[in-house]
Amino acid sequence: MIPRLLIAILRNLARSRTRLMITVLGCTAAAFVTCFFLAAQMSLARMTQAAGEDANVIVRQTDRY
Amino acid sequence: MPVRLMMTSCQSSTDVIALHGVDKRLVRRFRNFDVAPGEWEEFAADTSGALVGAKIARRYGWRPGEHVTLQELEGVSFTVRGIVQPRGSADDFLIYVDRSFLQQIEDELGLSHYVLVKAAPGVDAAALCRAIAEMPFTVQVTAQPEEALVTTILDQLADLVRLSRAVVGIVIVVLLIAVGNAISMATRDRFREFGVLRTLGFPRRAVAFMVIGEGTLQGLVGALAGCLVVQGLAWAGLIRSVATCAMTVDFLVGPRPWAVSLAVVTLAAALGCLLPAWSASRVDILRALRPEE
Repeated sequence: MIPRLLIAILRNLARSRTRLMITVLGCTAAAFVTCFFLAAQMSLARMTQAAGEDANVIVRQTDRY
Repeated sequence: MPVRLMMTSCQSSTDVIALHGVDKRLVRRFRNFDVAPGEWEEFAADTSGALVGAKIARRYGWRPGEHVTLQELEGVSFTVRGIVQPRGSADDFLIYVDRSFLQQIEDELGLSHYVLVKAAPGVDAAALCRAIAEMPFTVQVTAQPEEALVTTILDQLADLVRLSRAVVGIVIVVLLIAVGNAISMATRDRFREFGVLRTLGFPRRAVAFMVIGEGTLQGLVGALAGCLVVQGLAWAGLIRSVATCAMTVDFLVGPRPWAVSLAVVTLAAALGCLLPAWSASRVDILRALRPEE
């Protein structure tokens, strides 16, 4: 039953190509935004974690770097 | 170990170049440099030699043995003696040179910007920081674990992260509505078809499966394409990194952003189909098959 339904799904999708393309493009945009921001967020987290691996303390003049 | 800093303006959001002047005899106690055999010796032997982070070397196309002049930093010149292999830390974008070399360039011998202190194994970093802060220096000092300082610096980008969460949330809601609307329109057009399927003996769940399957498949293909676009742009170097003061954060797309994006977008698309699938599965066979007037 499921393989037959899958074939039917693909056939139905192929029938309305414009609608299919618009929906897929919408999902592409959503995935792009999600993936981009997640990667940025995780890059920040990884950098903070890496800084802790050396167990160093930084001493600087207060209010100056 | 005292460290002398020299860097380009913090105003740049992508291209901060930072030179760290260090004591070559001590620096390996503080930094675990992974360099090719022989490169460390060459760096140690050359007063104007530099160890360069792999990411910044790749960005500017620097190779070992190359003489580099940085016009952005008052024409400071050094010879690349080694490339530090990346480990996902700030070091990937830093240039390490001899401290006195940097002090001489700026005519400020003996002056440094900060001091690195190595905590012995088992020593509580917070207690060490308090002890250092209480020492009688001629100026008031702040001592903090390197991780805490990096967190403070990266906090400048925290607003961006908070905003990004809101943007992702809004995008997912819009996607849910858009997919739901598209599938709903498609099912309305195929009202008669569902009636025929039901007459032929297709159970309600099969009809619902078909509708949800269509939306989910579209979501999956779209999500895959979106992730591929991000990965492609990252590989092509079109989205590279973002910089805040003295620190460049590299942009790397790993398996986790891929997995989360695929899951979130596909799930949103599937959820958007639930209502149209329910209506399609409950179609009235007699009404669906009634000849149109």
